[in-house]
Amino acid sequence: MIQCKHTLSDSRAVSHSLFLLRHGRDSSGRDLLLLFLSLDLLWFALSDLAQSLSLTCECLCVSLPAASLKLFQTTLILFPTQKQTRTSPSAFTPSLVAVMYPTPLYAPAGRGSFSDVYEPAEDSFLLMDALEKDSDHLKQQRPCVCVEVGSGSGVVSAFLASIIGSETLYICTDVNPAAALCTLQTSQCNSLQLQPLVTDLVGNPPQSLETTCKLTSVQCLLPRLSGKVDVLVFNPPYVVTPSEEVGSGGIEASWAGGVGGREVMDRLFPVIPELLSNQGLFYLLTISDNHPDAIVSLLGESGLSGQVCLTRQAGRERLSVLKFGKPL
Amino acid sequence: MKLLTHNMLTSHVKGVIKGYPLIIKATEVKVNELDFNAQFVSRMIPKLEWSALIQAAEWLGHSQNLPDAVVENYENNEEFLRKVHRVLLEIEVIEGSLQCPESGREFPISKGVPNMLLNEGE
Repeated sequence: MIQCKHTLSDSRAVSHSLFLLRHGRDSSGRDLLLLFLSLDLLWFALSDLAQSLSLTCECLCVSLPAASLKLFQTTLILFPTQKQTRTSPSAFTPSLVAVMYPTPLYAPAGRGSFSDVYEPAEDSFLLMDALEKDSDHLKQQRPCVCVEVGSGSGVVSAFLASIIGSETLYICTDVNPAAALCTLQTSQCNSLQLQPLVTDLVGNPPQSLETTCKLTSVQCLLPRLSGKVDVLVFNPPYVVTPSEEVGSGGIEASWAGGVGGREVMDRLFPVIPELLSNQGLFYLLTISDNHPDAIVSLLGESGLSGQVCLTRQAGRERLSVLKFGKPL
Repeated sequence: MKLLTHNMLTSHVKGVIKGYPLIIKATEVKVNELDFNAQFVSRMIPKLEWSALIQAAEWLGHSQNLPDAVVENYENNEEFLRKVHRVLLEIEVIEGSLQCPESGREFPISKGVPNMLLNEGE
């Protein structure tokens, strides 16, 4: 029995999954629609989708997610069509897409030479939705410098650029060289000017961190961008993992967050007040395991006021986008 | 790597006091024509280390005869803005490296992306 949990705010995830909608035929020649969804998308929208596509959901093949919650494996769901004629999936997209700013195209993260790059998922979509929610304010503020730490596929920065426009500098860092190249390709396929850069968020493992605690990725940017960053975005590796899993340069770097899922983001926090301009905003994606309230208090001590900008349940994860700024 | 990015990067090797500007050693440079974006250039100029930009452009042989200092009323000087636009955005280092002026540590630039990663303890 499929429960429909689809809401309007999930439409970005749904529209994204529709990009992956394909026609096919089974061995007995019946028309099929193949819908590739990540596991957490399974539990909403299916009956809506089936209804709007005039299909019934006859069989459901679900592949199990990988060990980490953030590593969704592709799930294959088959909708045998009842109609004789093929229907174009694109014809259904508009009714399901209720977003003001469409999700940008992005290079094939998670595949081929980008197989070690995090493929946009619910967390990425929530971050985009949060930026979209703030779009009027962001445009009004006319940011001059935007920085995304851990840009991965580059889709979030591309999205930000689609809101704010071409009169702004977008610097994108990632510890994974493949991700930086992926960001560059995403930039090119959207005719944008994102400036990717390979740099380590956490220069050294925590044990060897010096007491100054400034060994962060942005250190090579810090002297020049100090007080100049108008929008800072970070979708950190937030999954709770053993500490040993933190600090690789590959795909694990996109999700392994160590104790409390906080080990990586905690090392960026001390430099945020220094990086942000007076009207600068910092958007951070968290899950409940990260204790968002504690993060708001922690950054509050360094003079930033924070609040939950947007929150959503995605499967077992409660995702929240926190937004911080300097008090006026 | 565009010279705009270069302008924002500092060597963060342990013990280095002034790792700026990074010396560009380019083996492949490309010039990409881009639509002139006067607003963007005007907004970036106050954020730039001008002398580092001029230096970088000279290293690559694309100085565009830019003056040693930012001209006055540059917002209304299209000729000047076009030159800055070219230097900031159109000249791109595809392969090469960035060298820390103090420690000599080289950071590779590959496929147009600079890699500022340090090894543990550096």
